[in-house]
Amino acid sequence: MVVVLVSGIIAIPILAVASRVGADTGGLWRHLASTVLSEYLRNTLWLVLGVGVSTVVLGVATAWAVTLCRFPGRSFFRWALLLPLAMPTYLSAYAYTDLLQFSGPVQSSLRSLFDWSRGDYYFPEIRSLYGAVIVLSLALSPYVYLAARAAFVEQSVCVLEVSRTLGHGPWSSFFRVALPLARPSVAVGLSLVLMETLAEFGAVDYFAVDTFATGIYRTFTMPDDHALTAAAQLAACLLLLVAVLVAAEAWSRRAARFHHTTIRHRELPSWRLSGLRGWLTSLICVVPILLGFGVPAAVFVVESWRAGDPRLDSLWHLGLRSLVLGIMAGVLALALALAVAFGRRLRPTPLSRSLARVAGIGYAIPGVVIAIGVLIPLVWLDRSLSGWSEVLFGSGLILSGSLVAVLYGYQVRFLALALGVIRTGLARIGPSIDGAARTLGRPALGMLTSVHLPMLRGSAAAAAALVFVEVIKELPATLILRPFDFDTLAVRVYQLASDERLSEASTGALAVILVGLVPVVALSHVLDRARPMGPIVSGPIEPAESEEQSEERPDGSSER
Amino acid sequence: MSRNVLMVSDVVHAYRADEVLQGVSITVAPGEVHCLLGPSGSGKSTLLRLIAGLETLRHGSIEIDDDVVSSASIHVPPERRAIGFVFQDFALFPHLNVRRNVLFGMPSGSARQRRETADALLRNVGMRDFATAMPHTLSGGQQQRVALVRALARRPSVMLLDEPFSGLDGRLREEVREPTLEVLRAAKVATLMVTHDPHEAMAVADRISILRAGRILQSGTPTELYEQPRSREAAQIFGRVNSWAGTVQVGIVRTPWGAVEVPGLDDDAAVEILVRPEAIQVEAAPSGAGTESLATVDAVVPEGALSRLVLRFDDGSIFEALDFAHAGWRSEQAVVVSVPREAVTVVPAV
Repeated sequence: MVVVLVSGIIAIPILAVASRVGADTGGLWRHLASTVLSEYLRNTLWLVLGVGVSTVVLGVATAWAVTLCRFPGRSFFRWALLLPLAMPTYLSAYAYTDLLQFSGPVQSSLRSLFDWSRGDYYFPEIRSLYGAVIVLSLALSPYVYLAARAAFVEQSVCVLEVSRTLGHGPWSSFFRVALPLARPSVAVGLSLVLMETLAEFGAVDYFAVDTFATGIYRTFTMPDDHALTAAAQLAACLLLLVAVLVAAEAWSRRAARFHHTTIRHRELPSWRLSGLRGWLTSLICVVPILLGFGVPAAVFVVESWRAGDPRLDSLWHLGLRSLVLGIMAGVLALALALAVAFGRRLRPTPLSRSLARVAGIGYAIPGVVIAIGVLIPLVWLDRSLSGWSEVLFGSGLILSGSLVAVLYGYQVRFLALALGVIRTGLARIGPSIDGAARTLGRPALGMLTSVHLPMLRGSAAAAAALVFVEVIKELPATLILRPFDFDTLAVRVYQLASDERLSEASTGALAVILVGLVPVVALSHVLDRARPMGPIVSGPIEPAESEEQSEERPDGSSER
Repeated sequence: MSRNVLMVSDVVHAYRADEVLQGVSITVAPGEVHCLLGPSGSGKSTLLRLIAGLETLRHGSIEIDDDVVSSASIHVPPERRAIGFVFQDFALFPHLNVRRNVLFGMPSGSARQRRETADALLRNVGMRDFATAMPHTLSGGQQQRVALVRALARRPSVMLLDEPFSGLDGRLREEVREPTLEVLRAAKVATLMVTHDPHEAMAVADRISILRAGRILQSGTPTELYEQPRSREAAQIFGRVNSWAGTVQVGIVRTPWGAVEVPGLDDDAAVEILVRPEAIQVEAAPSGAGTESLATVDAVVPEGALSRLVLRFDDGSIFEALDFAHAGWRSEQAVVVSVPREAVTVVPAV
């Protein structure tokens, strides 16, 4: 019942966007189609292609090096390679623009060094499609790194050793055994990267690279009666791209599900890379960390040190507001996720399973699309309620353009995160715990509150925190859904940067980065315990030869 | 002792494709330990879950204390059944200490009284000193005892044990077994225990039901099942057995060691003769003896105190016998074989 309700609430915006496909836009859609649509499509596809290729190369190479080679700084790189996750792409874009633009420190020093003036030299333009590809690749490669690393760690060492004894060197073993085995995981990481790329708003907007995401926002802000409908139709196009991506990901998961034929895990071999080769590997690992996190972070530190935000009290106010908003969204997402996950646990029917999947689909949908999708039903509701609400509240717009809309948008987009964490936590609680609680006299609901909830404390905190952090960083949905004149930390940074007032934006940017660091630090702790483990609850159970488990999976496979 | 507290009648249930119960009936009396013996996938765990109310029954009925708790139309939720359940992995709540685990299912009462009862129960199994320990700090055997006490604290009429010893190492398993069953018998609960280990079933059960592919193959006391198996399949579960296929001719079946009387069976009925190896008596053949029931020792396989003899009869058939190692049998030795009639089981041929 709860599952039906929540998944319905989550699905409405997506259905709303789809429902506007054939609607009349008074010629606006035709105008868009003939002018900008092809450019949106071209830019989006180039972006997807460029970011896809470079994140895979970067992510897989660093994951392999860190997992299976020994070289200077390896244990530092293992977690530091996650640092770019803390740097929102739009902040990275601002920092690099500041650094590399004509009046920026790099070009200025070059000019004074060589006595050049404008036009004397060629300097690549960072505010371009290529710049966007580079910034996005640096920021998103940790997703592939994480997935590939998990795959390499899980691979049985035996297959690598067999490959070596069959006459293949380390390189050949990598390409012929390790990489093909890791492919399903890498594909999952890559699909995350591409979803983020399709959803990307802040950086491409700042670089003036017109993609679907920025186009939707621009169309929405047009002073036209049909702006919302036309934006919804653009959003539907983007939704189609997302759907293709989701389908491709599902297909690659199915097509390439390898089973490990041996479950023997031993200490991973580490090929010692000595001398030059070792330092070269270190360099390869240092570059994404430095460019993806170090440099932009340094820019903001220096800028905020030199000037910073002159209106600190109002920044403080915005920070507090973001904090409250993030906590509200995090707690709400936690409550909904618990409701859905518990509902599924109590009645694991095929229907509740697929509905729970619907509740988790939002993370694949770009923030702009969700924002448009949330607005459509809320505006409609407002219109139908306007008579009442004007009487009651003295205003016709109580839902759209209110905190309700913002929180709704956050739930649609981020519920999947909370749900994922809660479901993983719940999956670790074996079914016999349920049986024990029930046979010890607890009805279903009492069992969940007295047993499962206390056992899920850690997961619950993580779920709420994850949503909190994402909300602090979120830009496009907040921009569209926020009440008039309602700024958050991220919106303020965006607006200052758009006005080329980067040094003022730097203090807020630093705050956003610091918040973003929290999950990265937590993740790096988890990473070190990532080798396959026995049951969490207690050790001595293990020698049970898992008779009941083999009943669960008749083929005895170890599907991960 | 006569009244059954647990009555399972004609239960038909499909859990997953491979776990199907096809008309299972079982009864357990107070203080009795009834073992449900079967390989994985035979449906034995499903039956426990049905009795506990963790699964909904579609056909048949389950009665506890003379009340129907499960049938096609009735489903009493698990929390309202007078049962205790000890799971294979013990399923102690990891966020509660030992005492709180025991208190979890205990009937309401004053806090002090409940606590005293819990501690008394823990003392019974030597776990009083661990009352404030967290489950993950306990050994497997200790966890098992806590799980048992926790289930008993509800004063159930029926105790369900799902492979309660399989999580423990070999020697520990045997050490834990006896005290566990003593506690259960002392509490006068009707115990239904699921296991896939025939030796364990033999060692602990008052009665055993063999479950194969969703049906009860045979029920009875351990001695009955061992000595009077109803089929070769049932016989083989508890150890090696020799079998001889033959047909009835005027009330007897001819076997390599002589005629076996089978009064009351029709002529030409196909039967199987089953003999346990230790029931075969072997003597050194006196020189010049007749050819009747004469065999040759093909091989002697030492098994510690006993030796397994592989016997070959003149018609080429092979039988196994068991004798003390110090009897000193050698290969190629000629022997006379005899089998007492009461050690022979005759079952219809499959």
